[in-house]
Amino acid sequence: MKRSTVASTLSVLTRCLGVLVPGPEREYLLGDLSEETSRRLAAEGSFKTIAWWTGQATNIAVVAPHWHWRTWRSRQRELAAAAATRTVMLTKEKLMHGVWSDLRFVLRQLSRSPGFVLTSVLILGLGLGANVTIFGLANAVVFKAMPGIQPADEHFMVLSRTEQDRDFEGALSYPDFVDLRLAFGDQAMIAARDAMPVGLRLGDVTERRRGAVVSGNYFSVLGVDPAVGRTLTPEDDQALLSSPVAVISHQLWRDRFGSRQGAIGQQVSLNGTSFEIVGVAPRGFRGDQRFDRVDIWVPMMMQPVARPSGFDVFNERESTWMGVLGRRQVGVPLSTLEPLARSQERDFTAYSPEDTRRREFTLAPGLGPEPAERRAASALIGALLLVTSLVLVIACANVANLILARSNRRVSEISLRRALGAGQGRIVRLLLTESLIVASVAAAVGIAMALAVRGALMNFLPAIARNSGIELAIDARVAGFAILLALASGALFGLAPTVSSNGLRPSRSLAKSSAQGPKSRLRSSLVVAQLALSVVLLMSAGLLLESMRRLQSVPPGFEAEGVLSAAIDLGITQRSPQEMGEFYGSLLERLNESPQVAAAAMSSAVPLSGSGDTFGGLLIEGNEPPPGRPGWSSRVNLVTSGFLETLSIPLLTGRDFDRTDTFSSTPVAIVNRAFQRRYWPDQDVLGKTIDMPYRGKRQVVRVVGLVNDAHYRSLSRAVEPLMYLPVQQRGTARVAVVLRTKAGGTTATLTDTLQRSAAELDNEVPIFAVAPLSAVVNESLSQTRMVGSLISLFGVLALVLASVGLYGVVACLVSERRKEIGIRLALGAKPAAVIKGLFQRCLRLSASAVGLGLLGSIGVGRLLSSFLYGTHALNPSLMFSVAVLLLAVTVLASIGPLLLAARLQPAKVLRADD
Amino acid sequence: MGKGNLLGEFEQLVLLALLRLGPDAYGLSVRDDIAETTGRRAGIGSVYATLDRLHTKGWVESAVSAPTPVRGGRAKKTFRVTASGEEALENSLRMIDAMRSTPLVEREGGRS
Repeated sequence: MKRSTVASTLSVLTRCLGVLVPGPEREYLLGDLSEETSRRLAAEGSFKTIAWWTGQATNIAVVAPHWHWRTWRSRQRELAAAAATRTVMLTKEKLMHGVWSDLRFVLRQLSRSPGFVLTSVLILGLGLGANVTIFGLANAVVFKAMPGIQPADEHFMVLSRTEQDRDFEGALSYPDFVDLRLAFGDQAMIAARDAMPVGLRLGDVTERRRGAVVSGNYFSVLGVDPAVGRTLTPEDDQALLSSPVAVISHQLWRDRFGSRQGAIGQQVSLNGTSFEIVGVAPRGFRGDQRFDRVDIWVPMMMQPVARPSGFDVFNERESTWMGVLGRRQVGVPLSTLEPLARSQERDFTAYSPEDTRRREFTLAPGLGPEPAERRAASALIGALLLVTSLVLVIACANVANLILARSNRRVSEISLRRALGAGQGRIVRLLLTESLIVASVAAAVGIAMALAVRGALMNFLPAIARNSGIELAIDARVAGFAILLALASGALFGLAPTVSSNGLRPSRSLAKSSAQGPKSRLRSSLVVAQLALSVVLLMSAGLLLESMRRLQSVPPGFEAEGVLSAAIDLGITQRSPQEMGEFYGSLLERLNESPQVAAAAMSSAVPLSGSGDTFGGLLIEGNEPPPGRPGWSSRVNLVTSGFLETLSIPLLTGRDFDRTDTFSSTPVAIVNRAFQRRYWPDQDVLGKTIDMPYRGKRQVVRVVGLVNDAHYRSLSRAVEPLMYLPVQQRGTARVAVVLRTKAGGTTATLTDTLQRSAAELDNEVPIFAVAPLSAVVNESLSQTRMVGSLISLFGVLALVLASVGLYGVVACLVSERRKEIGIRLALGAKPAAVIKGLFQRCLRLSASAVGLGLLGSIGVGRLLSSFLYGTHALNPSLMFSVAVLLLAVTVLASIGPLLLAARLQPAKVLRADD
Repeated sequence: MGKGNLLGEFEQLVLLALLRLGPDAYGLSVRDDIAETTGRRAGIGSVYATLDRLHTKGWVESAVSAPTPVRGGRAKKTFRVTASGEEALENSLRMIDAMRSTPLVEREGGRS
């Protein structure tokens, strides 16, 4: 074999062998192999060289797989490591870069459509503003910590008592308090408080302020530290009348003592008894009840002089007069304390054998208003929040529609982006960024709105809240609520277009498909939702306004015009019941002599003012007491003669009280028709008797008159049976004075007369709560009015928003179908025929909205039922009115775009579009 | 010292050959040196695969010289042991020395 042939053959084979060797080393290995092959051919001849070469080739073939595998693996590792580094850097950079560039991009986009931005910010701002305002109210009334109390945590509780068969909730007796304190041991500390109006004499002036007798541990249970001096301690509350000391409010300290330290140690006269000021409460602390404004606190053991009542309030279990609150130890849940409280429940049989009513102690977490008031406040605020959230949903739907309309116009832009490789994520992000920017600006607008309407809202609030100094401040909680809500709504309306943009396929959209896609359906359903929610709101508003109208037309049973009412508290002066009667008599005499006064009287209760008593244990002639109970109970009003005349409550039969009804004469009563209906239907009431408890004994009262029904509690409730008893025969410390002006006079001039006459008799007697009776009546409707007005306002707002939304949809529909309309017009279709189809579509939308809305309003009407009077959710005429209103709005909102469609110039349209 | 730093027998031989041959050592010369010194006739593929592995571990470094006709116009890659390679070899040999000395002496002592 020729050497050259062998050499060239081996050279070719070597090159073929290269296939087996991993890339990087191939050249060098083959080089070595060639070099050695040549050397060996020269030195050892062909045969040996071929043998050697074959051995090397075999070796390469054997090691190659593993070599390849190893090379491949290490290369993979390198790649992975490099990729990991690259990814980390890229992600970080891309993300930051992405967010910034998104932001810049979106801002640029938005600045190009100021109209869209302005509209959506305003719409959303309105929705958010409504919510922030109402949440601010909730915050002030329910959530916000009361100043001075610390720590303001969840361990507080309020104890109250309910009595079987009695519309009564709240106060406990002193023995109850002592029992419960023992029962709870060290698992909870409880304190007692009784707040009341007091006459406070500082220097020469007597002012009427709120005062409270409190248990010695009151301040420590609440965690209230003094601003100056000390607070009350259990030592102050050891023995009856032993410690005449007082803590005053920061405000009283500032107003009357100029915030001087010297106030400590000074004497202040409270209801005629001298107390030494030992401390000043911290700024803002006005007692543990949110709506209260207490100015002075004295130890509970001073109760007999602070608030003379004639009862042995520390030993009688029937005397319920204290509010009880407490702080649980950390880790003790209410459920642990409840059985302990229940173990102290007992019936009255031990104290008065015939009274078997059970009483129940209930525990509620937190402080603040008493449970019943709290429930009422929560119901009110809950209803309002529900309404405002509906408004917000409408606003969101509206903005979502605007964005959809915009993104419709941006279909080709978005499709182009996607065709160029923008991921779905990035497009979603852009759209979301856009909506979140709009939402953030809207949050600011909403907060600004809430700030702006604060003052106006205060006027809507019931007097109890208005006068209690609650502040509708925008604090961190409210601001946080606004921002969260804004972000949530941003995500909500931002999602609508993203959902539909996912369905966009570049090819289809770039090919300019018809807009009759899923997006159009989404927009229509958004509009239906908006209109339906407006219907719900309008129905609610209508129901409330209808209730309001009916309430206002309810005859109250008395004549409020021209009557002034005011309150007098003789409790601050040390008078016996007989002396009180004499004082009232003298005052009335003076008032009746005054030329402005047509009639004057006193009463323990003023109609619709919320005052009034219920007497129990009544044995009514001809009526067996209800089974298992010692007697009937009835509302009572203690009045002087002339009360019926002053309020123009018609006397049906019998006589009014007069001067002959005194302590020594036969006890008498006048009943109302509800009383007659209940107990003596179709009978003559005159001469009937009622056996009732009086000062530990029983007394038989003879009925001498029957009067027409007058509403005392509320215009929305049926009139309850009520007895009038002459105040001269009973005596009472706190009365209302009612005065009727002579024809042509005003209640304003009466105020002067009243104050002068009272001062002439005794200048320590404070006159307070002076108001025209018509205002009192009006105030009794304030809650219904507030809810009614706010919901009407929101309802109108919602309708405006929804009609804007409808307008937008119709306008869009028209512009999307310009081409089709143009062609039809060009082919000779009548404009009326063209728009008929579109109009029918609008009507279908609004008809389905009316249907859905009316269904929804039935549910909401149930929620509102406590505010409704004389009407209910299924009110056909109201439903009809709302439906008509909505159809009218539909026509109004769609007529513009439809006329535009009818007037389209076919030639122009067809030219413009391509 | 992890398993990855342990040298196989052939790796030790390749590294020792590189050290003996100096800066101009390349695949073929390593193979020849091992064959001449130990009588073990390794294949060129094995040598290159090993050199490649040692290179991956950072124990040898390489340089490429210009192509020559005798090599069929292919370049030559020369290899040199790195400092860490020397250290790894040193460790590996010391372990063998250590294993060699003590137990064998004791075993002999035990027998006698």
